[in-house]
Amino acid sequence: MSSDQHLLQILNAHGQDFLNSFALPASALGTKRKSTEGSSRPAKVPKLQPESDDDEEEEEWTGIQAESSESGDESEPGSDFEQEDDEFTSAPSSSKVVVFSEVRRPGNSDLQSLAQKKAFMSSKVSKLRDEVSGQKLDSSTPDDDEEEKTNIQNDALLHRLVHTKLLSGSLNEDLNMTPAQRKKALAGRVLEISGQAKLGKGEKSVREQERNKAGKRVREGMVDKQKERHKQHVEEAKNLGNYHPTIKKLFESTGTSNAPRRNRERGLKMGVGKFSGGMLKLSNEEITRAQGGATSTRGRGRGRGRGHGGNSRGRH
Amino acid sequence: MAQTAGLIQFSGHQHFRHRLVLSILSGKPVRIDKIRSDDKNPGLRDFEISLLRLLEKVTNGTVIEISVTGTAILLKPGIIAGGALTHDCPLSRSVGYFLEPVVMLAPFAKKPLQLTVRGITTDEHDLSVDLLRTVTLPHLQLFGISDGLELRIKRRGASPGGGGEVQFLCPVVKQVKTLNFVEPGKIKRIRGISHAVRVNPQFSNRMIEAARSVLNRYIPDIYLYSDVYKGEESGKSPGYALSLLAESTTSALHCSEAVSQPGVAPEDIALQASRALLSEIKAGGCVDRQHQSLILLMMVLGSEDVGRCRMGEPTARTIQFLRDVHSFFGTSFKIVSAEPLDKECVQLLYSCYGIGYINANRTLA
Repeated sequence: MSSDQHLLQILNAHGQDFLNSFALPASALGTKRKSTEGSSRPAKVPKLQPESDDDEEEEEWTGIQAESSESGDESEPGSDFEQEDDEFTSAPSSSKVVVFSEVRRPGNSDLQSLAQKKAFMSSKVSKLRDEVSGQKLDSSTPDDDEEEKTNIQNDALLHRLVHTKLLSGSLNEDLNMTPAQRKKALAGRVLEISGQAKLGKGEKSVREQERNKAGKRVREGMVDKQKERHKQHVEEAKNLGNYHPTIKKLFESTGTSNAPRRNRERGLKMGVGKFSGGMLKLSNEEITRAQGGATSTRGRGRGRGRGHGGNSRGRH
Repeated sequence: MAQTAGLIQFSGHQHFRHRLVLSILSGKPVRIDKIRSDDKNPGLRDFEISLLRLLEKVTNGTVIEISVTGTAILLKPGIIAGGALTHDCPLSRSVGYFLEPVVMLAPFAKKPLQLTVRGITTDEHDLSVDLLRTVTLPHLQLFGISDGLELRIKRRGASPGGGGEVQFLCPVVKQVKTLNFVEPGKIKRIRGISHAVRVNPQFSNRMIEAARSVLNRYIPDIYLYSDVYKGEESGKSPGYALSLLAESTTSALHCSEAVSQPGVAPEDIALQASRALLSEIKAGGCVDRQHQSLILLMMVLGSEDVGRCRMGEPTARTIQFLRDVHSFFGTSFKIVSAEPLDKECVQLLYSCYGIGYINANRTLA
C-alpha cells in the first residue's frame, strides 16, 4: 500500500505542477516558494514541494516520465481518475470523486445490431418483426482449404445424387418396368442431365430416335397412332369441359409444333412487285430486269450471259 | 331503400371517432347531437371538423350535414375510396388522432390508400407516430394486412408549432382473417425510440440511460434507439419524447410513451415512460389498453367464425365501443375470465362471431 501512496503523491505533484504551469513564470516561482507557508493543502503535498523545487527550479518541466520513469505503467490507471474529473480545483479534495460512464456492451456496434436497428426503424411494417437471423458475416476472405473442403463436399453430394435420384429415379417406382423400358428411361435422363434434351422430354427424344430407325411403314404407322391418340385426348378434354381454344398449346406434345410458322402471304400475286396500299411497289432490280438490263455489262457478262454453246449451234 | 330506418342516434361528443368509423363501415347513417351543448363554446371543435373533412376525402359519396350551431351532425356514409390524399391537421390535436380512424378504414378501401398528413406528430393526448408505426400497424398484421403497409415519418413536429409530416400507405384486403390470440406469453424484448427535436441531442441519450436504469434489471434484450432529426425535418417547436414497446414470445405488444413537459428533466420523462410500460405489462393480455378497440373491431369484421382474444379489463372507451358495435352490427361479445380457476387473474377472454365483412369496394385489377 505504501507504494500506492507513493504513486499517489507523485501523481498529486504532477497535477500541481501542471496547474501551476498556467501562472506567470515569475510569480509561479514565487508562489511555489511561498506555498509551503500559508497553504490549505493537505500535509502530503508540501512535503513534495520542496523536493520538486529543489530538483526542477531551473529546468523545464519535462513530464511525469522524468520524475517517475520506473513506474510509468502503473500510473496509467491513476491518470484515468484525474482525467475524468473535469472540475478545475486548486486543491485535490480528500475524497476522490470517480465518475464513470456505463461500459458499452462488447457486441454493440457489430453488423447484427445495426441490421436490427435498421429493421426496427424502417417505415415498412413488414420489416419490423423480421428477426435478424443467420447474419452473414464478412466472408470476403475464402481460404484455399475452405474451397477445397467445399469441392470435396460437392463431389460427395454429386455422387450421392447421381446414384439415388438423378439417374435412377424410375427405379424407385413399383411399376415393374421391363429392362427395355428401364434402358430407355436411363438414356432419356442422361440426355436431360447433359442438356441435350429439355427436362422431362429426354425419354421421348430417345424413343423418337429409335422410331426413325424403323422401316417406313412402321414409322408412319406409329405417327398415325400418335395423332389419333392425341385427337382422342383432346376430345376427352372437351367432353369433360377442360378444353378452351386459348390453352390449345397445352394439349399438344411439343414435337408437333415447330417455330411459329410465318403467316403466309395472302392475296393474288403479280409477276413483279408488291401491291399494297393501292400502289404497286417495284424494286430497282425489277425495273432494270424489265428494261432489258440497260446497264448490264457487255462482252463477257456474268450471270445471265448468252449461252456459249448449244447443241446445234455452229456454222450453218 | 329505407334510409332512415337504419339511422342510429347518439348524443355527446365522446367516442366521436369510433362512431363515425362504425357508421362508414356498416353503411348506416348516424346522427350525433347534443355535442357540447352546455359548454361555453358549444358545438364541434376544429379538430373534429377537420376529422369530418378528412373522412370526406377518404370516402366517396359521403354526405355530412352539420347544424347551424354545430351541436349536431348527420353522416350518410358513402364508400371508402382510398387513393392518394393529403390532409393538413389543425394544431390542436396530433396526427395520431386523425390517423387512428383512418387505420380502421383503410384496409377496406377501393384503392390502396396513400395519405399524407401534416401537423403535430407527438402529443401527450394521442398515440405518437412512433407507436403508430411500431405497435398499431403490426396489430393489423395479425389480421393478414401486411404487404405494403407503411408509415413513413418524413418530418417531426412537436406541439405547439407542429410542422411534422407523415405518410401512411395501406394495402387493400378482401376480408380480414379470424383472430385466435389467447396466449400472452412472456416478455422477451423491449424496444424503444427516443427522439429530440430542436433541443440538445443529449436529451435523447439521457432519456435512454435513465430508462435503461429501470428496465435493465428485468430483461437483457433492451435496445433503445435514438432518433434525432435535424434542420428542416425537425419541425417548428422544441420537444422530446420516449416511446417504449415490449414484445412477448407470442408477439403480443405493449407500449407506453412519455412526452416532454416544460420544466421536467428528461430523466424524469424516461422514468415516467418506463413505469408506464411496466404497469401496462402488469395489466397483461395479448393486446394493450390503447388498441383494444382496434382489435375488437377487426374481430367483428372477420370471417363468419369465432374469433378469440385475451385482453385485460376493458377501458371505459372500449365498453362504449362494444355497445356501439352492438347497435351498428348487432354483434355481441362473450367475455369470460381467462382463467376461471385462478381468482387473481384479471384477464378476460373476448370472443365473438364475425359478420363476414367483405370489402366490396375493392377494384379487381
